[in-house]
Amino acid sequence: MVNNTKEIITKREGFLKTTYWLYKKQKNNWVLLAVFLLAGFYGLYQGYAFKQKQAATITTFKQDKLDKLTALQKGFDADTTNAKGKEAYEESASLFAGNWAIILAATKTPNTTFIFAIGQADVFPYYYSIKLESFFMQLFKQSEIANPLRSLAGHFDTSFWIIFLLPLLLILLCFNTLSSELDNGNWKLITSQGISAKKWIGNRYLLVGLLVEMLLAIIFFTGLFINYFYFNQSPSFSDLLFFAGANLYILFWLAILYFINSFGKSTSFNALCSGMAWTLICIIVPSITTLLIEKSVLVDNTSISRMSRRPQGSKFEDDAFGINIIQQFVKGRPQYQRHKLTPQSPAFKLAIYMVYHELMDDSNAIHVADYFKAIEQRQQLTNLSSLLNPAAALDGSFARLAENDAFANHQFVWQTKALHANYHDAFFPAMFFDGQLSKNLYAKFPVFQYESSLKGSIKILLSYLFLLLAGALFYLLGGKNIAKIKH
Amino acid sequence: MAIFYVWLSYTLYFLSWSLLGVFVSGKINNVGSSMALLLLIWMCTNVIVPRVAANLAENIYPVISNYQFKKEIAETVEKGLDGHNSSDERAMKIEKEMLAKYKVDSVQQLPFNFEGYIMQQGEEYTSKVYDHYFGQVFQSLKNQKKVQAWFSACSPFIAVRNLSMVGCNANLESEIDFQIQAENYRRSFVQDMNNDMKDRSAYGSFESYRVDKNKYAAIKDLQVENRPLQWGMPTVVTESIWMLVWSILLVVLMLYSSKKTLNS
Repeated sequence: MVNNTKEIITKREGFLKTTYWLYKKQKNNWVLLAVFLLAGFYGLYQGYAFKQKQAATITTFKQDKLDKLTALQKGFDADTTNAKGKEAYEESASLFAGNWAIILAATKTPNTTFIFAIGQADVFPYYYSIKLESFFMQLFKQSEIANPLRSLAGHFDTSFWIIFLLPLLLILLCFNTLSSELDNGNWKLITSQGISAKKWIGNRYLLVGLLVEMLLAIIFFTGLFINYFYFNQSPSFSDLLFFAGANLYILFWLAILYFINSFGKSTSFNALCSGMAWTLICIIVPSITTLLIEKSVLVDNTSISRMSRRPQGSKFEDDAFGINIIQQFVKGRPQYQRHKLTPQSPAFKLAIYMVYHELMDDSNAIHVADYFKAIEQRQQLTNLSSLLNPAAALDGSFARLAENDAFANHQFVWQTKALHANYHDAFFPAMFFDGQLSKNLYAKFPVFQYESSLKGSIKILLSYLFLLLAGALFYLLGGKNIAKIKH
Repeated sequence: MAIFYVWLSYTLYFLSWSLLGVFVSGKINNVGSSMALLLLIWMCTNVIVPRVAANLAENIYPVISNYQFKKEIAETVEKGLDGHNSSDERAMKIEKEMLAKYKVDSVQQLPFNFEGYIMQQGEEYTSKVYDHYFGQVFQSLKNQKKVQAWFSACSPFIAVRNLSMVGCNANLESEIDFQIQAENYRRSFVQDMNNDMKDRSAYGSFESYRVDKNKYAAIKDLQVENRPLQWGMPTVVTESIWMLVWSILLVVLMLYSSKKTLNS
């Protein structure tokens, strides 16, 4: 039995070597591989450049906010016997000044897989300045400068290279595996050597698969290398899942090409079918699916669009309105029930304003959650449609792994909201009871720490399973067809 | 005129594809192979090249991050456009000039509310700063578009996309123009309000000053001026040339190859 297996392996190795020899003879193949490898490096460079820009912005942004906060804190140590020192102290201790000057930073650090999939990172903000006023008012005012030209075309990142370009390479290398021999009349000669169509295609695909895998591995490990040396990030589980997804997609395309070749038709038929399969899988099906999902899951942003407006009006000058709103606020927050704020208190006007903002946030949170839910639902439907819509589903999964999708952005928003709430918990007692800020209070201000949104994201595996099933289906159908080809 | 222009652009685009189709099928006798080659050309020109063009353009002319943009604006407003003219110094200079002009000793003696005047001066300076930085962003985008336009040489899709966008007034320049019109409207509104304060209130009444109801009622809505086709045409000269080159080149190729076929 062992000898028999060894013999099969030796035979397979020998045949693979022959296939490689035949492949090597065609110089065009090497040119193709080199061109696609260069394209892969360019995609990786795009990911690197985008990540580098975000990382650099985050570093300077965080440092800037931290410096300003430290400078404010120093005001407590100022010499209050002179005017300048007094002014500095006032700026640090005053509730009103603090309301404007204290700005906390919330940043979403790019993860390791970011370098491979830019996703929607150009659309979603990755840093927020957080002040005391309404969270949602601040949130929807902060966005990156949009580049309509790039949004129109999309990113040329590793994800694009894998999803759009590697199938093209596979098509170019495999579309005529069997047909070229059938067309030029060599097939009879080959079969006379006892080689079946299945074995012929299998070996050719194994070789092409290994070569494409080599390209993928070069790009993947270069990406990991860049992450480690430029961004100080070790490989993560999401990288592994990304690599696994890319491999599954290659297998899926090999299965499609196997299926097309299995009909035993002419080279032109195979080329046409392969090209149409690419157009269908990469362009038409994703467009139709997106359209259907958009129609079935409606997203209404009417209420959201109004949230960035600053509440204004003479009501804030009205003491009765102020007393009423503060009462309403403390009802749900017993820790402030014993406050001694009166219309005569210096902090009264600020308290009315801030309390109004917080109550506004309470009611807006429901609308925002609904809005986010609808967007996430759309995304989930796309990501899980891999059985019918493998390209878009994989693209969505890659963006999920890189945390550059809507879900990750929403998680970042809720984490930032928690920071805002913690900031309120530190600031509000000073506003309700102390009447001013203290040095110790500054130490209590929360520091944002981004937590990955990937934890427990099992749906990616489900999407991969569907992709595997789709590939297996084409492989089995191809196997059935190929058996009909005469030796 | 615009409809005709869009029709003409698409006619040339479809003509190019038709000619390319006939040319390829003339050269390659096999139907499947010629279709496959045309599909490959379509993939490259309509999917890959536009993406490469957009990404490469952004690599060459990157757009500043919003944080950097705001930071630079805030710093420039504070320190002055030349970096040596702080906001306090600017205010002092204006005050001195006004006092000298009206030959008075204090701002309270001026025949108008100095608070409204200084606010308008500040607004005008800030607008200058914003114009400077927005100008840089717009310039980056316009430069990116220029780079993309040159890719029309290898993708008629880019050419027809930009040409039809001009025809529909949905191009980048039109969007920038709309933003400028909206910003000018906002500025005239603010200027109106500041001048009202300057002329209709006394110095020191910043907190108590109220705008008259009729003043608000007199403010007109923004009337966005839709630019004519001729306005956008100069922005797509490169695309127009390449679209024509594509069409002419394919016609010439067709004629040449049909002549060759007839002779043989």
